[in-house]
Amino acid sequence: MRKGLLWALLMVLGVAVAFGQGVPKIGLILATGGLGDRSFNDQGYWGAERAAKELAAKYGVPVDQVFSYVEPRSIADYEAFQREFARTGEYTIIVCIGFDQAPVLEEVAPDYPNQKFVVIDAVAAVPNVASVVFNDWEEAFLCGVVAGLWTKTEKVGVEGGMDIPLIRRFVQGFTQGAMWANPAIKKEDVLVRYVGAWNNPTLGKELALEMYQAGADVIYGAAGKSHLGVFAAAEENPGVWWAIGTDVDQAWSAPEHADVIIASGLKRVDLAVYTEIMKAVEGTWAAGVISYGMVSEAKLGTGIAVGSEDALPPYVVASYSLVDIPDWIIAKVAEAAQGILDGTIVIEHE
Amino acid sequence: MRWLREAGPVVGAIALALGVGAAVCAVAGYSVPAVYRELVRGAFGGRYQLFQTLTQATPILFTSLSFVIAFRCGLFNIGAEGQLYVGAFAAAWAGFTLELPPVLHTVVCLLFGAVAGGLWGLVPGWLRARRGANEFVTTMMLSYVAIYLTSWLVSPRGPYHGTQWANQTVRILRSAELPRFMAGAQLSWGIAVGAMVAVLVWYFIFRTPRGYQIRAVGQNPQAAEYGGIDVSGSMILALTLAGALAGLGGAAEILGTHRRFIEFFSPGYGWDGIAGGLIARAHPIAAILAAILMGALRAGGMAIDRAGVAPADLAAVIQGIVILFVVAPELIRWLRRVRLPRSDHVRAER
Repeated sequence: MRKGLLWALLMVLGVAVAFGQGVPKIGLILATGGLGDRSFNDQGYWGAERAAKELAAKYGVPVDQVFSYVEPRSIADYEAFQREFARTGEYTIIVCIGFDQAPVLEEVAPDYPNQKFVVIDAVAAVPNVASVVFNDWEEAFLCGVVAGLWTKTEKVGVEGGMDIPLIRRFVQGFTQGAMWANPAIKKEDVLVRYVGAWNNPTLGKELALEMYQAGADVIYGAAGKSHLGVFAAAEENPGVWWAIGTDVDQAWSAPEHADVIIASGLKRVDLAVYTEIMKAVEGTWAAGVISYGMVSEAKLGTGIAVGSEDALPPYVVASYSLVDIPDWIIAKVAEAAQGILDGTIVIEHE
Repeated sequence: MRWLREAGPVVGAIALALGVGAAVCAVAGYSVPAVYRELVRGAFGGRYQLFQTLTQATPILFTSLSFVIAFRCGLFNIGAEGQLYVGAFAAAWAGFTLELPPVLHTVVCLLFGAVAGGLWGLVPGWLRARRGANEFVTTMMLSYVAIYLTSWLVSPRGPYHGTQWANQTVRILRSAELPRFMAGAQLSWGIAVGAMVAVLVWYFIFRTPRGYQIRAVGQNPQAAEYGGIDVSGSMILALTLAGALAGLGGAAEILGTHRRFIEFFSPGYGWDGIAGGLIARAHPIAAILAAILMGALRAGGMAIDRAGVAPADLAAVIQGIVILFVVAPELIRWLRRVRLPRSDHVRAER
């Protein structure tokens, strides 16, 4: 009898221990832009948070037991944080947001061969890293279409975070989209400025004002937290100057600027982060390069938020923008998206 | 006994500061025991954590020594941050450009860092000694020149932009690396170099005629001059050496920790050196302990962040309070000392 009780107790304990070990844990290392960009980083956070909430509910534990995140202040902090997470061996998966984590991760990941890593927006060629990349040029092209049709001055602008291939592809796609939609726009009518930083909205605003004053009346921002400055600049002349957001519907994420944001490119970082985490938890995770976008295996991950109704979900979806966009523009955007999907529009990218 | 008398107030101030930090934590709504547990565990909880503390302490040791040597001459080197950057860049450049056998290569790179930093200290030293330009202003302004000059060098349009992913140089050659103590930890032999240099600085200041002259100038420049000491020569030497020490710190950081120059890599090691030097009461050997304290606060701060018990900002607040409490009395004493001779001077003129 006593022995039976003991066994029962042991079994309960054993189950409890196994159960405790079975709770997955998510580590998230954000990019230097940090939380509050209402775009790229925040989206990565939302994706991880969504996964964390579901897992916490499933295992009946508080969210902070399954999810930790850090906000590095400089690129130089990445290595310490990546090691800090990996060293513990507690994390089912460590998600690294941002292309600039890749070179460090290539040196760190081999030291922890059993640790699963995900890096967003770059390729790290290591056997235990899944590299998630997006067809950024697709969202940029669709934003270019909106800008080309909306402009009254036949001049548009694009503000990039840094003069690097990733962002040049945004510029290229945007330019091509504007020219596709509006034959009056020449290549030189698309003004380009690079902030040189992802976290400098003050300079972002200055550069945007410069472009507005040079005649551009729509500016597309692809500069992380810095392009919040584009929205602030547009607010100085509402009704004349307009802005386009990136990666997430910024009329929703930055509602105070919903009166100047006419559209936003979509890059579903949240979806990618969530999917990769769930794959790791369910055991279907695999390393390698994973593409997201309209023309990719996933057929998902890029698009545009514009207008008040979903015109071609999940690629052309409704936006929280307060600006009234005429139906013919939406129809043209949907046509462009269809063209990208069926291959009649080929977007150039380096 | 003198040691005890000096150390007593410092230890008291640290304890007091941690107390105030706890109050701030509680008011901000975070668990005080959890935050302090992570702080201590993250800084001293095991070999890895100890190594992480020493990794953070290494550059701070160099910048503290930089501050100490100028302070001994009555000068305030505010520009260690910039000297650190030029030293770091020079070392990185030598690290990926020159081809030398392993140990020699490292030594040459360290020398490059020291010389570059020394030049960055020589200019304000000369301006101070020969033109009477306040070194407060010149070292600080040159600091910005250094930080943004090196940033430009590795920016996409600069000559040493090494990778498409981030503003950094290419990796240094393996032969130039300062080896690490253990796989998986960032700690390198830089800490040993730092400790050695601390002893050398102590010997220089207290056991050589040049060091004596520097101290004499620091205590009373007029008396030193009457005594036949070359005051301006001592000032130039002190600031040049201060620059060289900070530059050496930058070099060690690149060769040991980052293996490439990264723009804005320092989270403020130069500023920490001011605090470190003051906590150490301008004593080179005590600077080792002061640097470890500062390093522990940084490493503990990262652990607090990773464990999610409080945001990194709160860790930075605790760091700030500790520095303030320990440094404030010394700073006030120093300010009083510089003001006194000046008022004497005014009185004498009347």
